[in-house]
Amino acid sequence: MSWWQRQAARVRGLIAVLVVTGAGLALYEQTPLGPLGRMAYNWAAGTRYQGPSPLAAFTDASGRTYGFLLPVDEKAVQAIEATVSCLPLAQLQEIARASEVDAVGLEALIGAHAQMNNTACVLELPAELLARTVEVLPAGTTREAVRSDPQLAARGLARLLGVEHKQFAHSDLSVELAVESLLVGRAAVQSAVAAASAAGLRRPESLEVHRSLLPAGTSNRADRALWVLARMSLGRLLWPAEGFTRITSNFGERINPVTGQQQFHNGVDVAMPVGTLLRAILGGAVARVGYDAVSGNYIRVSHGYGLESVFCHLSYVTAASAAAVIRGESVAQSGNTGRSTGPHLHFAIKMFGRDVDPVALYQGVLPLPLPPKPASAPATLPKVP
Amino acid sequence: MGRLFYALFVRLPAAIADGIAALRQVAEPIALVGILLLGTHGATNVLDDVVFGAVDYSDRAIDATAAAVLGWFGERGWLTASNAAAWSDSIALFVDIDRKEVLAVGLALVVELLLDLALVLWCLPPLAPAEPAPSTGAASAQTAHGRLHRLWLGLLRHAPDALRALAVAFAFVLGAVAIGRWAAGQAALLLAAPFLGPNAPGLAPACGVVAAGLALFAVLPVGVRRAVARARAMTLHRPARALILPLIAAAVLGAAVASGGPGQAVRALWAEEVAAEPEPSTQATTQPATQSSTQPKSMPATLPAHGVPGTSLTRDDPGKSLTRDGGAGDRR
Repeated sequence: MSWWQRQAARVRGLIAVLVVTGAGLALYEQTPLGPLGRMAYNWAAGTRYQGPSPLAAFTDASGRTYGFLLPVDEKAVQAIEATVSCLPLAQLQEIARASEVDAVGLEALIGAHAQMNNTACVLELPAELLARTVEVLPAGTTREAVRSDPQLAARGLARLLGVEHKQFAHSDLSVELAVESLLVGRAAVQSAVAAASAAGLRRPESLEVHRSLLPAGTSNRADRALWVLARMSLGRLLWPAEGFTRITSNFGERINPVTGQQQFHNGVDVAMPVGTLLRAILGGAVARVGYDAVSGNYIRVSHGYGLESVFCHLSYVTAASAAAVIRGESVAQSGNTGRSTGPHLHFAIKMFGRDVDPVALYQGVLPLPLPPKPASAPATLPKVP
Repeated sequence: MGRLFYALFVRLPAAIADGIAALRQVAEPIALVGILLLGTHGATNVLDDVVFGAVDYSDRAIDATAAAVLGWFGERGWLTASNAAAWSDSIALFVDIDRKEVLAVGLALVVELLLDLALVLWCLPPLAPAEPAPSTGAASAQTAHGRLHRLWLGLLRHAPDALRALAVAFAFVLGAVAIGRWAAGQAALLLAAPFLGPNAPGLAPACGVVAAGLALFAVLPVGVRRAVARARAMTLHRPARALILPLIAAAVLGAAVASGGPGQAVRALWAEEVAAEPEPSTQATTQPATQSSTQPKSMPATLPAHGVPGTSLTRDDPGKSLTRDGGAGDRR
């Protein structure tokens, strides 16, 4: 074997080893085989698997992970309710206006960190974020004061949000990136966005897209950011049919008008004539258009961050599958198809694969079922000593 | 000192390189399988849509059949009309639109794993001689079977080698693209480290392209050669299976291509990222003029609080705008 042949063999061997390494890592990270392998390992070791589902490698027609596969942070769900109770919306909007930041983003940020019990309202900020909040508030402000005073915390977080907002001002998703940056860290977010962009992924600045590229230790904070961004979306909802708000059948258990049996109704029925134009309640992409014996013609729009809206019994769907829609865009016409006793719209909203009451969402009430609250909440929240 | 320098900087790297070169015989088959699996996933990432279509079609057929049969029972008096409707509704609701989504994704995973298995087996070394035909069985079935074999054989003899290994080669290319995308992402993460300072734009995608090229260089010739050898061996011993497997694989991969998934992946490797859709600051910008004919102008503005300018509903007075009637159940 000549010298050149020996060098060529060495180079080819090196390439083969590199390709094996790259293929193995890519298989582990990007295909269902990675989670399946880890599940098998955990099963053999007798431990509990807590990673992502193998099904999470699939995306819907809009290119997003299926909502029912996204992680659900029960603590964050409960904390979101505290937004309403800890700090009235009017006060929050005033603070946001004074700080020139996005009121919806600030509200969502505080909501995700608020932890409410029957007697006190305490903002549970991570230690790092709490320290940063204290730094931007007047000298002499203590951490305990920030934790116990929602207004003080809101002012501090508004200033921080303004600082981060300027860092991402070049992006269409600047508010979302600023909120994520406060929770996960600016350097980590910038690196993940750059990596997603280099890998040619669509919408690299969306947390859903670059989430897997965030540092390993930020998983819990990324989950919380996902919830905050979902909460932000709720602040911008549009009603699907302007002028038609009469609810003829509520969300929850009901007597089915067709069968006469008790069944769970996963949305609300809104009375409206056939042909009423229906608009997208938020920006997003059409995840599914189809026909079903029960639902008739239907359209499912994915709005990102685990939020989906579904319109059923339609006469006509104008938006195509996988098409991007903007907030307020006409996507369908109401009808009377499928199992229906009269012209109406069946309107359902899903958060992270769970059915939620659309009316409650539009009224700013808690998004998911929670333990019962005491009937009379204190008007002014007591300070934590 | 000189001998130590020679040993450390000349002999040791040479020994490592020789060791790696010796690993090539082991590494190449593993790389081949790895890239094949990556490619299969790249092609089947849209398989859930294909599977959803099949599930949806079956569900609608079952619902329609059940409704027709139960309706006929009702007409004959074997069931009351309300019972027939209730049964029909129960069958229709058994797999509703939400369950169909979950079912489609689950089945897509199963199909992907089966496809992985089929393609990996396809790339194994050629088969041993075929087993003798069973001595029992109906003569007519054997005759039909034999004629079918000759038909497959005739088709395969006329098929070029490239066609026989098309599915495998396609999976290799997609796998290389997947490795390229992964490498580009890793390079960008590395280059984004603050101590490296600003880097040239496009460097990370270039790393991805190089990685994809190296992957193709390492496995494509060997993989396709094995696939063709496998096809030829099967043509001799198991002609029916020799044609069926590539056809199934090509059909699934072709369906995936037709629905745009891998095409998007390939384009995304080269193209700039697609800008996110703009979010208008005001509502309802695209409603055509026909809206006025369907919405009564005299209806009061009773829309919910969020996103509707001009309404006064806030969270402090929930329930003010939406009107409920006929709601049978408690909302929570």
